[in-house]
Amino acid sequence: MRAARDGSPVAWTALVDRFSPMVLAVARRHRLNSADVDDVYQVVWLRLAENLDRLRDPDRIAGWLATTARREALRLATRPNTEVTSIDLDLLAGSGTDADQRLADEEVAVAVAQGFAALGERCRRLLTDLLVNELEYTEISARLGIPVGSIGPTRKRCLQKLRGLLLTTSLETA
Amino acid sequence: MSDHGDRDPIDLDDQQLEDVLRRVMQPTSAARRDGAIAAFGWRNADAELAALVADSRTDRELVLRDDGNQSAYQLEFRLGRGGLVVDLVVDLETSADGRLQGAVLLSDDTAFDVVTLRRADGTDLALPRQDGGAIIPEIERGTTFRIELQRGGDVVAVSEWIST
Repeated sequence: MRAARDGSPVAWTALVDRFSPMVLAVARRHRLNSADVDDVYQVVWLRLAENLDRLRDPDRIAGWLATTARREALRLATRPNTEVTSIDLDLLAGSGTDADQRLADEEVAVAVAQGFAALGERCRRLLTDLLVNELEYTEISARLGIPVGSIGPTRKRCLQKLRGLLLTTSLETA
Repeated sequence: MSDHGDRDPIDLDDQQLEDVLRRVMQPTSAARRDGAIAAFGWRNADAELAALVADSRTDRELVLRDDGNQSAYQLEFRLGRGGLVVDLVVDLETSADGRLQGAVLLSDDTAFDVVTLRRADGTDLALPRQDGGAIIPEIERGTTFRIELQRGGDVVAVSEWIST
């Protein structure tokens, strides 16, 4: 964040890539339609650009982004004539349990996205290559420069770290 | 329906945690990402405008001397720095009845939507726009004023005080 504050576009892009999943998870948590999710996402990054010089603690950026996204999503979700999404229509037609379940799923997604953004770069790259890019261990070994045999244990350690971050977040918000 | 939505996320096993990660880590669309990256450009623009304001806020005062012979004045200001420098020229000439009139010329008048003549007594005069700047209608001699440039409701550049 400091490099972005100093004007580095590369650092800014890294921030965007690191925290975008979390910002989107927060926006989706409020069951906005796609256009509104776009609006929340865009506004959050504009707000960060405007306030970058005022954020004193880089470690707090995830919380700041989540709060800003939540606030903006709530603003859109509670405005008059808000368009309900197809998901909402499904929920209205379904049971309360379904709705509760889906809401709980989205809350889990937000927490996990926030925890993932707080992971170190090595874990983020490894988990991204494994779960999103679906690369083979040999490819990951070459990309990240780690022995094939240590990928499995590292994967488990990264998930454990993530769980620890979720616990921290859970305690902070309790 | 998922099999983990009713649980605290810290209770998820590795497989469940990876399932959630796969969902939330889907690549951001190029359009969204491009928009977010472009937001940084707005920060730079705003920072340059802020610097421009800071540079142009000054208490210095330019006094137009009236020696009885001169009928036209041209004052040049360079406001801002870096990639956003605005050259502002204030042209004034004495009318037949001794009042002053003229124009504000801007090197980039598209960057500003309002040009205001702000008098030292606190009264403002919105200057009618014309290509390349704005018109200064007749003002009394003895007026002290400065020119303010606004964009989107914000003052983004201010000239030095000018005493006529």
